[in-house]
Amino acid sequence: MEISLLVCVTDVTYYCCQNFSTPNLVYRSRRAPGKIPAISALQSTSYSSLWKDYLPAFPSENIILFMQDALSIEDLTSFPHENAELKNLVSESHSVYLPSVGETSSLLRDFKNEGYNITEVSKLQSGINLKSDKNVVLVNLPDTLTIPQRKLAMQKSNEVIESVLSKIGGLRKFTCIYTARKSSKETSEVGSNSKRRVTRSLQQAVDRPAGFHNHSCALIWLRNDVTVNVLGPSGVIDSTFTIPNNKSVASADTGHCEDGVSSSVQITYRNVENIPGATGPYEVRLEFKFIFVRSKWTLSYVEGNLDASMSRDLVFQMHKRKNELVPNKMSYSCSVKRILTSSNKTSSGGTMQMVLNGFQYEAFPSQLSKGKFDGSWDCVGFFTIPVWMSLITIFIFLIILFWGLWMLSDVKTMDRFDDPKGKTINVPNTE
Amino acid sequence: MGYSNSSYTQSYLYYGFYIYSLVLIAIAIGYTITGQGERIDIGWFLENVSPYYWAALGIGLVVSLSVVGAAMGIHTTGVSIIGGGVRAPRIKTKNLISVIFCEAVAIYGLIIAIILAGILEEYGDIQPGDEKYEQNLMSGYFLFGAGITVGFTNLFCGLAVGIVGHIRAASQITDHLLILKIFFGSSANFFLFFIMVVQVSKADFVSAS
Repeated sequence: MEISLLVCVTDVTYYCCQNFSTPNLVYRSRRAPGKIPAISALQSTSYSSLWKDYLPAFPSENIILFMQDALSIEDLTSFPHENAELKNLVSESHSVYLPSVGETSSLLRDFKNEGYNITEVSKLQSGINLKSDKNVVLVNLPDTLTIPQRKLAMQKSNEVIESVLSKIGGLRKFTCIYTARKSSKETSEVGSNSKRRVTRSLQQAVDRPAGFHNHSCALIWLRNDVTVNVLGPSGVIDSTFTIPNNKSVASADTGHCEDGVSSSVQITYRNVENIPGATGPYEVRLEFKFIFVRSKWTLSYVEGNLDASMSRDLVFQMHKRKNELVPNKMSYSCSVKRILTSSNKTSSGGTMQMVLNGFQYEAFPSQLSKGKFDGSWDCVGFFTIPVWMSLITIFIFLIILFWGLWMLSDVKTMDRFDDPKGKTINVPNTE
Repeated sequence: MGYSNSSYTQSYLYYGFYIYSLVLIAIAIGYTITGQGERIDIGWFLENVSPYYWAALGIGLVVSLSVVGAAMGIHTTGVSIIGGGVRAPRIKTKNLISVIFCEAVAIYGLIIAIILAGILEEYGDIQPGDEKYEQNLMSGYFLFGAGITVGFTNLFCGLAVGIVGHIRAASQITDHLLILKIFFGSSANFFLFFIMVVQVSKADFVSAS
């Protein structure tokens, strides 16, 4: 049985705001398949670096993904006896151990986007064969957070891994990935915060409204439901449907975050009705993409699979009419309604329009951990351009006025001969 | 004797300027210390101010600064000619030429302003970010630069001709036969035409259509 194992332990990402640390172990069997890049001395490996550098080094046709709910470096190193099985596997194969990778919860989504066929392991064991070329076998390991002792939790996970590999490891050449959705250890930031005394109002659980999404360095709040108008080829609205906020599943929010470059948030809505082309309840996924431009950020586009009659998954890219740049550390809530128009066409030849009615969004807020928006951008500076122009012109006029007044006040008259009672002067006109 | 009225006026003017600049500096410091320093965005200002503004400012400054230079020159030389002419009337006619040279400075400025105004034309509805807008913005900057250059040069040239004329008049009072050629004082003006032509050679306002 040739198995590849890559174990990467994902840790909290460098902004230290979310508990998204998942160990990630990828291991491979005896022959090192390709050049495995050196793991940098830094504690954290970025998610994009995992995708670009490490995963392609292993043959990636068939992957077993062991997904735990929470894992950290201490779990793997503190319990040598319980992790013995894992150690055996690692020692008899080629592996890469990344102690800190961010955002591994979006691994599954990205595998799906890359064209992998995802199968649950229980279906495999009951006899369904792996058909296609690119397969990911998902093994959801039992919950570890509900077990108070990490020791027992790790032991259970190891037993499950061993049993899965013994049963289906012989089917193909697998590359195994052992990772988790978040870290089992709290970050240092959270630890220091817990020592602070907080007032009672902060201790009360904050109830987030349904349209609020806090994920991957961006905050989005959609106050009302999103409406989508389907336009015919002539531009007239053919039909319209809504994507209600209460159908969004907050736990299914995923996204990427590249600090200082871009951020994308994907919101999933389940059981949405009345989608054109869909016969039954449909799952809508909207991806909001924010980019950074010269120390200001903006919403670049919104992508969504809004037409079920099209076979591809992510169909429409909605663009705004013009890109409004918002300064750093400020949120945008200037428009009540924002209409985004799709650049590509529906199956009937028209376009789609997405209307956001009442919203506020922000990329890279300063209080991401609390999920709090920064101050809202006024969408107009302190002085507008015409105000500056007139200020400068008035300044020039004032200079002229002051200079003239100065010169006037500087004129020295001959007071010596202004005495009315004195004798008049007589200037002889001699030559 | 006490303080004269003029010194009061001068101090008011001083303090007026100080307060104006203090308010501007206070606003700038306020932005910087609240962490919004990058909102003082000179680039945003320069890109978005209309090219019409720069061009019109340049044209206005040409003629006004030239006239200021000429006026100050005539002020200097006229005072000395008239003052000297009280006791020595023979210098009056000979020194008129200084005044004429000062006036010529103002005429140069006026001609150049007319030429620049001929280059400026309406370009329709072009927004910042458009390619044509950049061409128009560049033309606006050219006109502004030409206006500033010619205007200030004429200002100092007028001052220079005025001072030379004053000295000529004053020395002719004492020395009857002194003939001074002051024409060199306004030689700076001759070069201005060429400089202006070089500066605005690429200025061209493209219209939207």
